[in-house]
Amino acid sequence: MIDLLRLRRLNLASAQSWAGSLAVACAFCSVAAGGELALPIVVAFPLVLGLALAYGDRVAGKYQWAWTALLVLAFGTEVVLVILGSEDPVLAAAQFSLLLCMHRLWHRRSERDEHLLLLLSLLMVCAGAALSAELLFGVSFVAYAICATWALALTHLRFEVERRSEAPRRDLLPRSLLARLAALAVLGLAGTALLFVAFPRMAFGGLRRHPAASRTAAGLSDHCSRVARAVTSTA
Amino acid sequence: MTRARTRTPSWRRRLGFTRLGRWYVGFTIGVGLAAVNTGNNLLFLVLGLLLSSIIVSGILAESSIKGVEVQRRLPEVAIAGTPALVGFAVKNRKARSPSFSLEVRERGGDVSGNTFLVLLPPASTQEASYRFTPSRRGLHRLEQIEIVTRAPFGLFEKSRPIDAPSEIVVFPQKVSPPELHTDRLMRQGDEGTSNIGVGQEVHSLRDHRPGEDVRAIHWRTSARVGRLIGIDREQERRRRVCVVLDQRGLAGDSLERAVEDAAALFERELDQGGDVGLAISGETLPAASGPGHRAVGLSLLALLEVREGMTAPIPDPYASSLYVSGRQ
Repeated sequence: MIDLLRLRRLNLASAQSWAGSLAVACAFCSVAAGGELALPIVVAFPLVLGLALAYGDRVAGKYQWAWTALLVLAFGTEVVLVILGSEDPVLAAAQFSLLLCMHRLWHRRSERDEHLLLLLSLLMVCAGAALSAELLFGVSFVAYAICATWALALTHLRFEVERRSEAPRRDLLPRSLLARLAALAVLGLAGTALLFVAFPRMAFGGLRRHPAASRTAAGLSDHCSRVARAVTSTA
Repeated sequence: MTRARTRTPSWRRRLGFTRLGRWYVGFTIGVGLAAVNTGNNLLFLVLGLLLSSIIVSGILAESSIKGVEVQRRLPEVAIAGTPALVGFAVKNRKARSPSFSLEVRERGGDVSGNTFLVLLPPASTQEASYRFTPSRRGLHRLEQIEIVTRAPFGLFEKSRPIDAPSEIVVFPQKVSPPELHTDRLMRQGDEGTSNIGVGQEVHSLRDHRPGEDVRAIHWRTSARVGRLIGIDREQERRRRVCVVLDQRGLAGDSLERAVEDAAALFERELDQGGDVGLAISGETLPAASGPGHRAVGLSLLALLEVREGMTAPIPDPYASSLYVSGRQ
């Protein structure tokens, strides 16, 4: 961790792994910001993320049958809860994508695993967009955009290099590359802001989700409500 | 070295999706539909991120391959079945902007191979190479060099072809020389000629000339006749061998094996210090030695073909002939 903070002895593989984990952490924050996730998942996810970073290499590829059984069970439970009407389909999908993400965090060995992890994190961000309108989502989103840009670019570079190397490479990562990737992330964010503002807004209104709680707070919701009446007085 | 000539317009690009790119675009369309359907502002924000990544990816990919020049360096010798290194000198002509994740590969032609550069700093040149193992002898044509990048995210593959036509002659595969019967191999050592010169054998005796080297005096005859008698020696010539291959009537594997045997004999005789010639149907290479002669002889065998109406090989009458026939 200290090496990560000081950017010392950080090689391409470890930088890519850290960037991927940070992107997943940001995605988790964005989906957890709504406060609708089940408490066990909210507690378990950061634990799994930390443990997978420390011990993931040792158990990667092992106990697949147990993971498969757990995921099938979770999927079945979510489906039943949705059919019974006790859980929202979007929330159920978000929770299941979190479980899939936890599974993938323990099995990060190939380029495909890393891509799946990033895809799941993107799904989590989308779920977060549907579930929450909190300011925390905005902060998580900005952090996610930066980390995911790093993760995607480093994943591409790492596996291109590894694919073409006869022996495993542990090249140190040049700081200039990280700086350029940060600039790339800022460029991406600027583009995001531009497209967000410029994209024409339309809504067909099908399958629209109405938030269960009608709590009113300042945030990024697409609804506007007057919560106070201004009173002007003249002396 | 082959310099890449840009007959292909420099603006020409090829753009393709990677597997990840297809998934990404599909996902973006899905998020776009969801955003338009629900009108959710935050989904529009996510859509903005996805679209922005695609645009940034396109801009950076173009910036990576723009201003990059490649020169191909062909190996001096390429032998069928033996790996050879083909080099690329990749130059970034941009003054400030580096190029990331560059793949340089052959396109078209008979040779395929590629090499990869993680980072090419601005205004710099890097050497890279790939291993090429020719599977057959003969002429191999190289057509274009393609500069490819999947930077920065691996979503799309953008490439720029450069015309760099070139040719390389691949020599026949190296095999052990065939064991020849004595009737086929009339081996001879360095032999004398009838001319006076430098050698070991005595050509004639004559009166000693004043100032001549004393080692040229034939002492026994001098003692017998009572005056100094000198020796003229015979000029020796190097062993001269002609490898003869009549390829008429040969085809397929038998032709290839005959060519490989002829090349092996040609090289062995050169290695042993002789003057070696080559006689094949329709062409004759006079006996000589040296690296240049070796290359010419092996090129002749590399490009050997069987055509209608070929004449029989004409062996060197002054050389020992080594006849090669097709083996099974």
